[in-house]
Amino acid sequence: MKTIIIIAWRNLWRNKRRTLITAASVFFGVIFSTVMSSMQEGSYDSNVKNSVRFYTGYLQIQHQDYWEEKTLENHITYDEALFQRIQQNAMVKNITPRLEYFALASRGSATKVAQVTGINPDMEKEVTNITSNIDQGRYLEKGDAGVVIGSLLAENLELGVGDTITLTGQGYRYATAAGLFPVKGIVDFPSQELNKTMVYMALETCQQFYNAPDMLTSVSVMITDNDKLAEVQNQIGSLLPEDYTTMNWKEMMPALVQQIESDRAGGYIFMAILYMIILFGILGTIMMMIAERRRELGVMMAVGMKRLKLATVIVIETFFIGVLGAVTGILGSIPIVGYYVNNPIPLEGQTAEVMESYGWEPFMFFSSEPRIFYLQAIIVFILTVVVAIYPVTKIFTMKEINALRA
Amino acid sequence: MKVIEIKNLEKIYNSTSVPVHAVNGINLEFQEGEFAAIVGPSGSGKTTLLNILGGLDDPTHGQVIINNEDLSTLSSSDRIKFRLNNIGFVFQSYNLIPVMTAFENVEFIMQLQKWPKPKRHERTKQLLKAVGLEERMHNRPNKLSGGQQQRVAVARALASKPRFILADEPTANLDSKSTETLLDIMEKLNREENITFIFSTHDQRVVKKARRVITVEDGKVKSDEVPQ
Amino acid sequence: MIIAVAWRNIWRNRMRSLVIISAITLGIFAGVFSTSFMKGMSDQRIETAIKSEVSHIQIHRPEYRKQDKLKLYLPEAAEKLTKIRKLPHVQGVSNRIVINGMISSAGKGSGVKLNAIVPASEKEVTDIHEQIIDGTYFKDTPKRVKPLVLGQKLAEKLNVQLRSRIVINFTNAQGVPTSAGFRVTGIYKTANHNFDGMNVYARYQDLQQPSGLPQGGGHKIAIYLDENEALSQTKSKIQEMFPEAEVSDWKDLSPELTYLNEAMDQYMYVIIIIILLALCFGIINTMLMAVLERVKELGMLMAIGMTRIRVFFMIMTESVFLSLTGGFTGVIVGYLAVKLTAKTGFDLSMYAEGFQALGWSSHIYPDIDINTLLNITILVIITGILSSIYPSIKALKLNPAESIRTE
Repeated sequence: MKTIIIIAWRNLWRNKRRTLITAASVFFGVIFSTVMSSMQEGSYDSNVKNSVRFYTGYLQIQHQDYWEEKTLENHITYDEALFQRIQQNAMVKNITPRLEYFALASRGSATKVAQVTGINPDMEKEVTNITSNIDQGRYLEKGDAGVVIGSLLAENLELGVGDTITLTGQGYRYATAAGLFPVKGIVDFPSQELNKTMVYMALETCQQFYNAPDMLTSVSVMITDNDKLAEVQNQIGSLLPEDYTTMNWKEMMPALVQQIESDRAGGYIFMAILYMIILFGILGTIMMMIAERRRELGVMMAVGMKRLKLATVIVIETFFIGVLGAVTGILGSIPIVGYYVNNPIPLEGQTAEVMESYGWEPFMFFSSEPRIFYLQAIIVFILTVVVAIYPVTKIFTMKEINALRA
Repeated sequence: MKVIEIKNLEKIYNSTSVPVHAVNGINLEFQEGEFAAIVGPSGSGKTTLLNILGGLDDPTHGQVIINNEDLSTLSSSDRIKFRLNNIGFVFQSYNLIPVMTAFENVEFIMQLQKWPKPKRHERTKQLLKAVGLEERMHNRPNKLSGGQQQRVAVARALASKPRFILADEPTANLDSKSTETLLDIMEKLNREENITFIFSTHDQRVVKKARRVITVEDGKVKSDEVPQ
Repeated sequence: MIIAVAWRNIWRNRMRSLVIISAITLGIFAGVFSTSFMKGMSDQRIETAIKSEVSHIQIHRPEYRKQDKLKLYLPEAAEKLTKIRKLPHVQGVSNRIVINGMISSAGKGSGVKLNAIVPASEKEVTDIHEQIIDGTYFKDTPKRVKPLVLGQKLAEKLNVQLRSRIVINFTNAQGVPTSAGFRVTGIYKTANHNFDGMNVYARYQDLQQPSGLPQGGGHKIAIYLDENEALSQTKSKIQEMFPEAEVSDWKDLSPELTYLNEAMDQYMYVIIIIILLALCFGIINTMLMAVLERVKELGMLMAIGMTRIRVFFMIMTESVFLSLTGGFTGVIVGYLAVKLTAKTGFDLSMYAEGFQALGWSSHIYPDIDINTLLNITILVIITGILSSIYPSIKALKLNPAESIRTE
């Protein structure tokens, strides 16, 4: 067997240029596909992370009817003991309880619809890192009587730090909710939607405003490992009372899941096209190799070499070309991916604006998941297997006399 | 009328540590209408001499004057042009373009020289007739025998109205009958058109037909005779 | 004539040429089809945005777009309509009052844009009336009912159906908090979830007084043209007619749409170029083989007087012929495939929510224009030319003396 491998290897180099060019095409395909996948997966990861961080958390604990009808009627209760138990789960990173409802924000005659969120300032900042988005003024303190509002809301109502914002709305059981709140700080998120509507309050202040003592609309849970999502969801679920439920981010943001899946599918299709082209290239080379060596193959068969052995040699040559290209491709892509994983590419101009309008950070992120790399290796392997069908067929159907006459 | 004048020709290769004098001082003259053979064993410098004569190589020292132009002073690309207009070649093999018919192969030279179509076609027919291949004008080389291919090559070599024709071992791959036919045709053309033919050959049949035999050995002309 | 030789030379090794031609055909077909797919998506997005959301041209009071305040209205908007209708290419004009308010129904609320319209003229401008999935678009409204049409997304959020009661709270032009009650008479659905969640429609006549605007006043005059090409000339005509107002076209109003179009174009060409790069390897290899096996013949050609440039040209032409044969076939097959699927389109409803959240339709109709096909063909030719450079250099380095003379 070893001799066969050596022969195969040497055969490759009989036509050095051709072998190198063919291997180069595989190299190109692998590097391109790896970098492209890395970019795609990197952007998915960052989009998921951002959405999860700012909106839903990886998991949310809610009243079972809350998702269908987001009213204060469908609330859960603040339960310190329950929260402790949840946080004892090793895979839970941190949690943050929230009371969310809408209200009308006004100043003078200007009115805008606002999304009021009552938070525990310390717990919230652990989860969403909101303090880094504070643009003016300061963040909320425990039991704070003031509010932190979104930058566009502040602009529209012409509010600055120190001004007073009026909030009116409907509270628990239709009680009127009304109040004046000093603006303590202004946040600027990447998402314009959030900037237009968010009003953050300390939880107690919010519960008072809505006449909803001890109530929460959700508890957002961050976990350590996205891959363990279902597991953690189950574990937390078992700790909860009857009418509570958990939802994961995929259930809460199906649009995002679909966007990711459709983009990923698109990427696969493009890779398929590329690899199909490369397959033809390898096939062409193997065809030429066999055509050139027809006489030689005929001689070997006539002299007594088993067809199987002969076929094995050529199949191994085919593999070598694939391996050469794939290995160099993967090795070559590692430093590229490695560099960009640590230095995401900043996007500018129009592209950046569009991304920000979707609430995404204007960077091109990369992922270094090992799956990206060995997926290419698998594809190239399958490719060479498919190509190998040709030489094997040719050798088993070749007639020695015809070959000798070549 | 002098067609070719070779003066003090030298070609030195410096590839190895010891310089090799492939051609070591050759002086020759060829007149119009000659039918000459150059003979000599391998390593005699015959090959190098012929390459230089045909403008395929340039000398280290000396001159090759054809048609009042010194080949040795021409650049590589100028030499290609010169060959097109002044020298006709018949090689031992690979003379013809395989994807073109006999007719097209002969015509090709005139296309390179930018002759107008009617003139090209007329002369091509005439030349192919002269070599006796009128019937097979529209065959591709793979449908012609070795001897027929060589005859087409001769027709093509004549197409550009060259100063002389350089035939390099034209009969080496042919059987006696084809050789006979080919040589007869070349002799006829030589007499009728008064075109100089210079052969490089090992073939005794060619030497027998030649009216001048030049022997080359060790890079020098050993003998230059008119056989009886 | 060198061209004729070049073409014949390709077919000397039929199998080898067919393999590379097939690869090119496949690659170009894929390229053509995927670009037509993407073009279809982006064209559709723009078309629906213009038809349902933004119209071709809008007229506002100068400060209105930025500040979005109720009091910044055009006082004689309705009068302007008749003048505008007379302009060539104008298919529809309508006047709207736009109110930002809060809509609520039995305890649930949301921020909305209330568009007070005149249904008859609005129908000529937008196609919301064709996207009604339940109820009607202001048809046969019983007396004393104030009809409201809202998007399905919003209806779900508020948990309302036809005939539900709706209250909209806002502050009118004089600064007085106002409440207006309606009944849901129609529900519509566009491809754009965000749009559906934000926009509700009521009759101008029901809101003119409560809004505090004078009769005939409005915030937005929207204009729909019969062809997009007339955009800039119509826009300038209108601006001349009403120098005091701000006249904007859809490119000003939704710059991200134009950007989308351009980005798509770039993206398409990037894809084609990458496919061509992948093909380069195969073409170079093929040409290299074709040249190196003809070493003696090429030497002969140069010996008998074919200049290096002509030899290079011959090789380059062979390469271009290979590429073009594959390219043409790919383009034609791709074009046919597009034409075939253009009518039925592709149903990607499994991605419906994801697409519609970004405003895309999940049913895609591929489309391609001749210009793009031409450009692709030109790129194919360039690829053929560039791929021939390396093999040609190899061929031209030959010394005719060495290659032809056998000893």
